[in-house]
Amino acid sequence: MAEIRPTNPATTLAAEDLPAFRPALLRYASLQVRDAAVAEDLVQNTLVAALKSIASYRGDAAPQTWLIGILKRQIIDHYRRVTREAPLPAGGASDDAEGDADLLERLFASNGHWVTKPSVWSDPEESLQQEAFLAVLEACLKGLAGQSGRVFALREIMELDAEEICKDLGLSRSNYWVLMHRARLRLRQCVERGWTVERS
Amino acid sequence: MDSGLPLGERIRVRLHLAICQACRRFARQARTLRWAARELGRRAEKGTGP
Repeated sequence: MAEIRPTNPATTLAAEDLPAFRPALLRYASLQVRDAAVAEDLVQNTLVAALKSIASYRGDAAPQTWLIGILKRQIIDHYRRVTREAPLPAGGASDDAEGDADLLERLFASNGHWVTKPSVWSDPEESLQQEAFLAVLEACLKGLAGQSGRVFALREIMELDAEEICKDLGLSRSNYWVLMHRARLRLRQCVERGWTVERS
Repeated sequence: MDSGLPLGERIRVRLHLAICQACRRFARQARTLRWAARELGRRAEKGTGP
């Protein structure tokens, strides 16, 4: 197999090295998509695309960074396809309207006030429990399905900007905000079940 | 967090937060979720897990 000569001589990437990156790529893909088979397919497509374009790898970035970049494009293309095949209902911002209505009913009274006030979470950014909080969130992300899950993943995990997400998924700005809000409501509810809270 | 909101909306949100303790808590939780989601993404990119 041909070995690529990188700009940085310390960084090389050969075709036979690619399978070793599969677990890392699968972990990243699994954070983004809920379906394990889809994540596998995306990783497979990434490795095939990488193999085809391995001659263009110059070692400017670490091999894993280069491969994650290809995977990100695969994920965005996948979301575009899904959105094209199952667009949101006209005027609606959720593909799980029943679940959202149920969630909103449990959170808010008819006058718009909170039924149960959010708890004060101990701050994981400053605590030794950072790892535990991340594990809880990772588990909760797996249950965040539908368009709100996709929007949240693109914005907060992949760190795309809102404008780009709206363009990729064909969303209006207001649909975007509604989907992000619902994703946060669902996630906080899930996280609260698994995270130590300081009630006050 | 929602810096993309139009100015008028942002002012309305700020005013509401000033009088709504539960909403301030929710906003803080949302910031924590953002931090944690980004941390998960960055760790996965680097190949380190929680």
